[in-house]
Amino acid sequence: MFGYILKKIRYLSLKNKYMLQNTQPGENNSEPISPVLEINLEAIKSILHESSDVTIHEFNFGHERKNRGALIFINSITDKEEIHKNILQPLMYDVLLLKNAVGMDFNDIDTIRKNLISMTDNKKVAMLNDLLDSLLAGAAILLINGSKEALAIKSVKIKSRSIEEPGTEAVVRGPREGFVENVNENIALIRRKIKDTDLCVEKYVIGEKSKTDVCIVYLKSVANPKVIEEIRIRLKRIKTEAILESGYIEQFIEDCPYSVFPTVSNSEKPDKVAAKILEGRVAILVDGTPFVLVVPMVFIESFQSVEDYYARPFFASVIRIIRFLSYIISTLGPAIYVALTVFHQELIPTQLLISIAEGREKVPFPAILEAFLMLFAFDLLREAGVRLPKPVGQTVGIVGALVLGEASVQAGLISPIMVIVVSATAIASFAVPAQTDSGTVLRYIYLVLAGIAGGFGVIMGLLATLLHLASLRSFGTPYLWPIVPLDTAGLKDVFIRMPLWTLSKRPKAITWDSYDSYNQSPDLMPSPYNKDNNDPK
Amino acid sequence: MSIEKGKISNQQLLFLVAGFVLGSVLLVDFTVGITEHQTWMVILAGLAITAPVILSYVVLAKKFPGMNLVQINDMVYGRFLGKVISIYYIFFFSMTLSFNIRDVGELYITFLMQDTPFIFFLIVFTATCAYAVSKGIEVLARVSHLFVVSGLFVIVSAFTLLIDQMDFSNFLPFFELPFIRIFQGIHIVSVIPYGETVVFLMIMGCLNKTDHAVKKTFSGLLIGAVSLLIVAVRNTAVLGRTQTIWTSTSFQSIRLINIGTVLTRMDFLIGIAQTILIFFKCSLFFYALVVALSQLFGLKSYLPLVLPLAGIEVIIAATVFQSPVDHAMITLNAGIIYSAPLIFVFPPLSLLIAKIRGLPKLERGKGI
Repeated sequence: MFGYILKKIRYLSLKNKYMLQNTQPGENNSEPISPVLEINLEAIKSILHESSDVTIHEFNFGHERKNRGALIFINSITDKEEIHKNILQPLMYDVLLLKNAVGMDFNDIDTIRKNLISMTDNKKVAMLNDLLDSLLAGAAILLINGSKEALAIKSVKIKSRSIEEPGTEAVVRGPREGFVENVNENIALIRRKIKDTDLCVEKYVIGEKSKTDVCIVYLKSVANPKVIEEIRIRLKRIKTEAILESGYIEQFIEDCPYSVFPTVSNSEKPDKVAAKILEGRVAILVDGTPFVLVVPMVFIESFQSVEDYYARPFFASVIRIIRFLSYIISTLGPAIYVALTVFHQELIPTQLLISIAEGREKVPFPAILEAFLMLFAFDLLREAGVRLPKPVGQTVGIVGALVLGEASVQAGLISPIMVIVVSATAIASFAVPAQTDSGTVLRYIYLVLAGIAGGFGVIMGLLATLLHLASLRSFGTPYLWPIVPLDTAGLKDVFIRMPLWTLSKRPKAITWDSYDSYNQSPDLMPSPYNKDNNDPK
Repeated sequence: MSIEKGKISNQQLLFLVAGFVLGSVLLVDFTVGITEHQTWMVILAGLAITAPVILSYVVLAKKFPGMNLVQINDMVYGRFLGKVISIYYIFFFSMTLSFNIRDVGELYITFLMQDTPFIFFLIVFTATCAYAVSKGIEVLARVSHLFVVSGLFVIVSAFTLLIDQMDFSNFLPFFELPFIRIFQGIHIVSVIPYGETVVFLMIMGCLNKTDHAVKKTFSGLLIGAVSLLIVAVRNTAVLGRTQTIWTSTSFQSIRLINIGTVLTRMDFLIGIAQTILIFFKCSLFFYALVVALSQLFGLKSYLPLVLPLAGIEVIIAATVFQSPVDHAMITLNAGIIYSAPLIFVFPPLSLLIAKIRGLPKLERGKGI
């Protein structure tokens, strides 16, 4: 009770503090631009604290060089050459070529914009803080003496990484391209896959200081308008200083922050994201990261790979079942081993039991501690392997996995079967990349349960997990769809992947209810052309 | 106003009922000592006798849409008498729940994990049930088909694997036992697996549409009854006359599975299936208990009651009986007597009174 009140009070005080901070900078800068050039320049200089990379170039132009102007830009993020060629040159020299220039008023920003500036991405700004926002986003600002407006001309210097194959989602068959850090490049990658008028891009700027571009991309006619509205609301709610990666957005908009299961999926592959957008999902692209978020997410999505759809259905189905099994192994493997060896020895076939007992003969630890040590060692190796410099990483991996594993068995610290169990678990955990995180957490939880209560504990843990999963929702879509709630039409693409020509409907739980959900004609079953069969009557 | 805001569909009702009846698979063993090789008859007769009673539950629920048993009692019998009857129901729910929780503990302590303290099972199991209840009926209803499918899978696969060991002459002679024992068996079966569906009067108020409720309830009941029948037939056919001497006939018959010395020791399968099915049944009972009590007290949400009641149920389950034998004897001899009026008398009576007083109309006039 008191804790609750204290929490409430602290919340209110923090809220007030934050509101104050929030309003101050806005009030300071939201002045209109003055018609006197010098006042503006002074104001801008003082606001930017005379940073060394801000270039302020004053110049005279017009026929008689009567008009005065200034060009302000941050030279580290703008393309200087373009500014010279397309802004300064027309203003200072090309203007002399205009025949009827006598009648023009060069103090008017519109005249300049229409007649002299040969860059498309420009806009008029009238307020000082809008001017500063554009300046910081990479625009060159043109101020004219005597004009109450300034012109913000976007000339960002883009140094984008070239498009490469993503490291996290390598494929055997399928496109090799992956998203890059630049959001515009990423939208281009999606647009190249979906050349449709329905593809909408909405841009938001989030982060008080980082001012990160966040774009949501969806197919207007397919995506559920409720989901889009929900995303808009959740994005607008974010009041934070900086968005450095899409993981920030994910954690601010997810449905169940206290769950180990992710309810927002991410991908680096344009073909995967395009496929999801075509199903009616919404992609959230964040500037500065190649990881694109997609909502809503369902659990089985983690077990589907783009390659399933590129390969023929039989192989794809087998691989998919193996993926489900591998997730079960990766979460339950050590727990079942501990439960069997500690509590239910009678369930192990006698021959196997003898070899397990022989292996465990010299081991001084109880099975659960043994499992913990091995899992810890494995997670340590994995983490170290990721962080270490590449040439060293391999060496450490070999030393850790082979030498340590072999030596600890030889020394009698760990039983050989435990090494097999943990390595099988380790391999299996990488077969389902989207659920590797949740699998790692669950593995420890089940292990503890198995150590305390054997099979009973594991069953209770599984039941609780099932109920938790069934209660999760991702932007309105039940997380375990189509298994819970049961949707027989959706089951065509869960444990096995039916041939593509049978998957003629979009997932019902994701798209709009009233939308006609066919994405291809339902009679696409391939059949060789035969005159007798295909007789047009 | 009802406490529960979740909605369940007719399809989910089917699976809820089927899963609930399947939750009593273990309890078929109860009657084996009394009805021996005629258990299958008892299961069918019990179904035939309870069918009209269960029909009265569904009709009652359809007559008072969106209301639970406590509200219906208040409306039909008046404030005071209705409350008394509701308390009787709550007593029944709470007792049955604790007996079922105890069943799980006894299952494990007898067959699977003899060295673990008894109370430990009760606490872990009840805590998981409490978690399920706190998620609401909607989540339970949504996952119900998984419970039914896994239960049916185990029952059917065990039956298939035992086919070579079955001897159907074990059922002969057909009418050997004295009628009084059969009658007692019918009473037990009609109360324990079937009659306990009276808890659905607490759940049917959440139905979004009551159109096909009768059909779906009976389909679910039939699934449950058929699987009970499969289990009873399997046990009798495999074990024959010896079935009366085992502690658990199901366990014993499953232990006999031996397919090429590879598929052996399958009893853990039935252990798992029974745990999750009893879990499902207990969660429904727990849900009914919690909702009934909070409705009685006029609470806005049942969540504050979940944990205290879980503790109380654990204590009841741990202390109510001395031993599994005590448990079996009391349930067989006293349990089915005190719960009989709740199952066979009150719901049809409520329906009759409601019909005579024309209650739902009056209710609509008031505007709830």
